[in-house]
Amino acid sequence: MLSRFLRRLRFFLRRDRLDDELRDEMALHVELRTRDLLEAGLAPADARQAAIRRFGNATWLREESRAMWGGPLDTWLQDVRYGLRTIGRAPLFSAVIVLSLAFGIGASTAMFSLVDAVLLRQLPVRDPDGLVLLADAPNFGTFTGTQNEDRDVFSYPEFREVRGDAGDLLEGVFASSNAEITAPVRLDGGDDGAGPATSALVSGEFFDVLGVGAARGRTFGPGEDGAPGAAPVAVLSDRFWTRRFGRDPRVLGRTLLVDNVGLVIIGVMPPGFFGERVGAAPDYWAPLSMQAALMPGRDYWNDRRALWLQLVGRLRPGVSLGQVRSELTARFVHRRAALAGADLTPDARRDWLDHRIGVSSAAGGLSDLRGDSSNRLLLLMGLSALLLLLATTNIGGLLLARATARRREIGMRLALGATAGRLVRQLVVESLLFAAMGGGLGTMCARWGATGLLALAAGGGRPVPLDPPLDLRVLAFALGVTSAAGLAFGLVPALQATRVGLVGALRQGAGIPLRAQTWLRRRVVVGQVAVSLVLVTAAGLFAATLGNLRRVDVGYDPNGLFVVSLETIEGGYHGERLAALARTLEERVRTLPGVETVTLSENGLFSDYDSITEVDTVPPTRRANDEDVYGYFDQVAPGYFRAVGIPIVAGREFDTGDRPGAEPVAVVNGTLARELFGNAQPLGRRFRTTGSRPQERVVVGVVGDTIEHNLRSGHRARFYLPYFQPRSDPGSLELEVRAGGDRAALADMLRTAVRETDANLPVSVATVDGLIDRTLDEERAVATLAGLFGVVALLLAALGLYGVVAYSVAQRTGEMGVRMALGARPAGLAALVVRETLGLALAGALAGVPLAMLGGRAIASLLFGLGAADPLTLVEAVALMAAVATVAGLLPARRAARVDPLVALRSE
Amino acid sequence: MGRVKRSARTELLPGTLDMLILKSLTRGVMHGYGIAQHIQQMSDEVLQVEEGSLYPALQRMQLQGWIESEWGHSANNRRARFYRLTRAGRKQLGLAESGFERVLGAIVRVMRPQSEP
Repeated sequence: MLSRFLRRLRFFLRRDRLDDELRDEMALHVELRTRDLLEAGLAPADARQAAIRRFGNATWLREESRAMWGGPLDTWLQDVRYGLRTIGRAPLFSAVIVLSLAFGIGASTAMFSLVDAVLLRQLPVRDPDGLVLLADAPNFGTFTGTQNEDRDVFSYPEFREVRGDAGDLLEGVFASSNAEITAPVRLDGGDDGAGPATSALVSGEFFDVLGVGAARGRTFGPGEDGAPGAAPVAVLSDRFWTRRFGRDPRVLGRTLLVDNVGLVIIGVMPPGFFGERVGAAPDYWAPLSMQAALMPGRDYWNDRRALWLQLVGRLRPGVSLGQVRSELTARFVHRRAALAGADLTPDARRDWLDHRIGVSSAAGGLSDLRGDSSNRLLLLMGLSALLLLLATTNIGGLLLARATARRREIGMRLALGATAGRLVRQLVVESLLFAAMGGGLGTMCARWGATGLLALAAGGGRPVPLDPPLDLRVLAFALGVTSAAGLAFGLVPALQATRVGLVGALRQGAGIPLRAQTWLRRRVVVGQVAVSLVLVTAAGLFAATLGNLRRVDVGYDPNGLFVVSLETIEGGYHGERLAALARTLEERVRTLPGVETVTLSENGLFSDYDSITEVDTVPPTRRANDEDVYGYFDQVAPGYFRAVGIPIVAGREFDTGDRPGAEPVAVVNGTLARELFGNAQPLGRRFRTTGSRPQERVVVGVVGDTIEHNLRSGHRARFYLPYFQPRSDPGSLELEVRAGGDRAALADMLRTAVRETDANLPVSVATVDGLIDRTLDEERAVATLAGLFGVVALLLAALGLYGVVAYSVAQRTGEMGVRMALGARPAGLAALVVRETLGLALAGALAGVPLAMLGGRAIASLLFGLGAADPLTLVEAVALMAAVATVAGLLPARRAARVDPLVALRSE
Repeated sequence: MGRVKRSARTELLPGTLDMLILKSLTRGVMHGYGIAQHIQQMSDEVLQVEEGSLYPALQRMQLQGWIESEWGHSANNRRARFYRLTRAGRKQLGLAESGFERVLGAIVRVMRPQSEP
């Protein structure tokens, strides 16, 4: 079979030479026959005639042989060659088609690669379908306190219990820290300097449960994770091994110094392995038991209040998710009941027991990119699909127009005996060629498009370490879209073109347009305008959202306000040492030139660290619906409000008198004051924080509402406690510095000041307006892309309009001539054409507005400060469309105005 | 002559031309004209195929892999293409022959029925 195919291919490839050979061979035959006949006694002329007669139709016989060598391949090749020739004949037309297709396909494929990487692709581990997620910690950092309802983060003792309880349901469970620790590391005895590396702390079951072994060396197991500090080992990621050690196998067995903690490198993971969290890329994995060593000052080994672990398990065969959920929850609640204190009130007891373990499939891994980010991704994918639709229909329209122009040619070929099937095939081949060119170019664009999108989404910051490969599925997607597009826009015009009656096609001169065809084209253009209106509206909504977010008043001036973030945990500061560091740094920074005010707090501004607790008045207030009041809080230094610029509405600021031993005080913002005390004067009233460490505080001040971390959050109920009279020892330290002058120089100065205090303390400096800007990275990326899509959509719609109107003007040259001859003014004719264009555009807009409103509803959750059917945006979009339509109509209008009646009439 | 040719052509059973060519080639390497001559002479001029139709058949059989060809020089030193039977061609000839004999036998039985013994 194969040899036969190869033979066929060889014949096919050599067919030109074979043809020559055959001709020679046949000539020889006739010659030999002639000679024989001569010898038999025929006259020379007769002999040759007879020989030729006996041979038969040589040309036909050669054709027959040719068909044999080429077979279907040859005719296809002819079609392809013919298609390429037609494409080359109209380079501009072809370029427009290929480029718009490339853009549509490129955008769709890029979006699909990302959606695939974030949402669809399974983890690169053994049997990812068996993995279940027991808890997906929401944020990096440690959550202290209690958490009710579906648990998404666990303490280490709880992990041990769940692991013990799950034996009959799960083959294994591992825990991993939600805190990504980035610390300087170096090889012990190495001469290269320290560089930052990111660790992931995972329990000993990690590698077993995921079912991935080391590519070199070994991984660690449960036996090495039994006691704090038991196994100071690390397993490197392939990426880190390559980046840092140039894939040197000799690093195995050497010691990696993380700050001053030594971890022996025991293995390297295979390439592509990144753990359980999509979008995270740890440089090395270390056992959970190394937590206290790597996070000096914090020991979570036996701490039930430190919630810092996410849990992933592997199902035993035949066990369902529901079973795991109900069984584990029952056992977990049972254990909690045993731990409940006897002195709990019924309410508190109910809260204490109200815990559930949610279980969901972890086949796709955990990801911080899901949620809002994935909604944005899906949205952009939807927009790019619309764009592709637009590009496809546009090409359909253009090809339709050309097919009409080629009706005479097609009629002629039909008359000469071409079958309709062959003609259709040829036109479809032509469209597929366009599709292949557009698809090829588009797929190439998609490669860097996807990378560019990630960079765009990350703004100036660290791009998400996703590596969206153009894998086979993405390629299949691109090919599928491409050929579907090719068929869609090839087949309809092709069928239309061949439906022409022979006589009709040949008889028509410049031609009255086929009514049905014009009708179809007009409908297509109206649809295009409608779709592009949707895209333009989306672009407008996102641009407005971005603008609204930028205009959000945070309640203080973010310009010239620097935040100095210190990685105090990594630096080994806590308790009294941290307080001392805070005082030293505050003093030191205060004397720097240009610094106007300096203060400090635990969570900082726009840092992603926030604290929350339940609060209630003293004595408790009965509220409607038993609603609890929650307050976000921060612990801040004396003079904080004045320094940051938050207005003090009533009472006073913290001062140095607010210290341990003095009366515990608090400052509340307007929102919390209202929620706790209603309209009563809050100063001097008391409230308490509930939870495991209830504490009473007296309100000494009321400050203005602020936005501290998330522009979309609105004003939250918030209170402040003194940094040096804390609810619990602050874990971190952020300095807020207001300073004037050159920003880069100031930032350098601030960094130097910290380094001179402690050279080993990791520090980062940013201005609050810069940090706010960073939080808008994704919004900006979406607005930029939606805007780009909108512009392309407008262009495509304009092109479609132009095509249809220019075609109609060309068809109506005679009519224009008559009008002109009867006294119509050129300007009047031009206006006629522009009116026609506008009419089409408005019909499209009319159809598009409800679509846009519907689309707006789908993206409502991503908008800010405006409704899904924002009238202003819609009006703007329609106006823009009308303007573009006018421009699109002007060119054909000019041609209409220049019609020479004599020429036009003569050509009829 | 023309009449004979035409009738010969119409009465050639389908696939017979291939078989005749294959059979001719069992005698050795031949060029196209030689094959045509051979068929005519062996059949006492009864089978006069339209000579040209030999060539598409030769091409097809090359594609099937039944015969191979190479260029050489004829007896009177003319450049000509010579065809040779391949192993597959020999096998095909065997198949065709047995099929042919079966059909021929059947035709003969129909045309000259022998009385029941």
